[in-house]
Amino acid sequence: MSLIEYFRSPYRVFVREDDARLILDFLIAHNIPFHGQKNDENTFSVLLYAPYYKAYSKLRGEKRYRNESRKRLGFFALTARYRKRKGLLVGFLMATALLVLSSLFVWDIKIEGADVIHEKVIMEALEKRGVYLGTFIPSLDTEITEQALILDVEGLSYVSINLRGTVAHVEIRERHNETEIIDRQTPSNLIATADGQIEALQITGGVATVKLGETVRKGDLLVSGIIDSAALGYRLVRARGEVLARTTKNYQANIPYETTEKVYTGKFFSQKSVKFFSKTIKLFGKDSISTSSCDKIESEKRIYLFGFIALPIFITETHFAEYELLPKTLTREEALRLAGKQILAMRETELSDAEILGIYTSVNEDGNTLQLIQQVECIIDITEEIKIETAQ
Amino acid sequence: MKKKNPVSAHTPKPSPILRETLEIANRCELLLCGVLGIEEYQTEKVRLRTERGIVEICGTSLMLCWAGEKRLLLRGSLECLRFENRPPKKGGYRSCH
Repeated sequence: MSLIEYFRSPYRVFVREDDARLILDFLIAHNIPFHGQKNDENTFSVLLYAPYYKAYSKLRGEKRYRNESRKRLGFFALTARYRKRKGLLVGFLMATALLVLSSLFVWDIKIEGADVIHEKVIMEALEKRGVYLGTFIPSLDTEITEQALILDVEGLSYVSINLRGTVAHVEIRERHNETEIIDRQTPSNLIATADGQIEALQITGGVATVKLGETVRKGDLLVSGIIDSAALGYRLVRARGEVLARTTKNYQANIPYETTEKVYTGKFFSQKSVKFFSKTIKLFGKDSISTSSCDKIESEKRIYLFGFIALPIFITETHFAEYELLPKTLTREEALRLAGKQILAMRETELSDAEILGIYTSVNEDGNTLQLIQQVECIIDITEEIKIETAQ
Repeated sequence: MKKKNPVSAHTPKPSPILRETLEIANRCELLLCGVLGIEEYQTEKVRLRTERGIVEICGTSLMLCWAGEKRLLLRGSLECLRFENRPPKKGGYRSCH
């Protein structure tokens, strides 16, 4: 039976094979259209569409052929069978309404092109601009969101948001920072950031005001951006270059002996919740343990239909490990180790390009605190660019 | 010389009275107009009543389908066609009985 025929729901009239002639004769004589003739074992049947069946049964009245039976087929037969089960109808209508309504909301957001920038950063920026799971699609203005996102997220050069069905595809292009933009226009000077003795000069712009071996103090002018010539007068340029000087950098770390230590009590518990679109439904009751003194690890798992259709439903599981802060007295070795780590972290940032000539360490103690002092003798670039203010 | 206008060919106007017509396609479909009823029906033999008499069709797996007012479509493997109470016509259908 074809789909159209299924929904037209015809009637099949069965008679004995011997009476086939009678029913056909009747139908032809009264000009009642019939089709779908079937000859089974000792049974003959024809199909009549509903209006023709009504005409047939009206003409026949109460009369029947031998072993005549009539049966309705198709969609209306199915609905008639379940007409008393109102719950089915309500469920069907609700499912239809849900299907239609759900297509008006964003079910998934896919981000493409994110290499350096974390996807979470993009998602947070999108959420700030009103694009998240469960957003009402007709209210979205993708053009405005695209332009706003470029300004909100550092490192983006292009954003495109396309809605395909209920999935928002966000395509981004990141800005590549390998190329340094050199400002050749603004005039500037180079001054010293620390005291030191000049070991090397590599000047590529401006005029050097110091010589090799000269001692300079912090703030002294090293390279001038003002070039004065007798023929052309003075002109302003951008001072550029490196001035390597032998200098001493001082680092200090203070570690108190009395401190607190995080100790886990051994109590662990977890809580589950369900996130539907952006709404979270908690699946746990009030717990007696306070979560303020707990380490929290959260994991989120997305639900997939048949393993590949992503639903906007997440199961979030949060694990808590309780701890308490106990007082602790550090030993001298422990304090020294901590101080050393602190100073190393500071040095690594500042002296990454320096040539270290020597490190002198001293330790002071006053009973409550250990003080570690390090003097690092090194050769480092001590220039700092200062722009020359000009009256425009 | 006066030119005579040629007589234009024209198709004859259809008669308002339904005529008994018979069309056969590929020996597996037969459309008969002017059917008044069915005298006999079996899958190997069908006898149809028309104004001019009985039309008997023999074959295998013969099925009937309504095709309009007083029009019947017969499907199946047609083997034989016979007319009863009808005088033989010159150039008429070949009888196989």
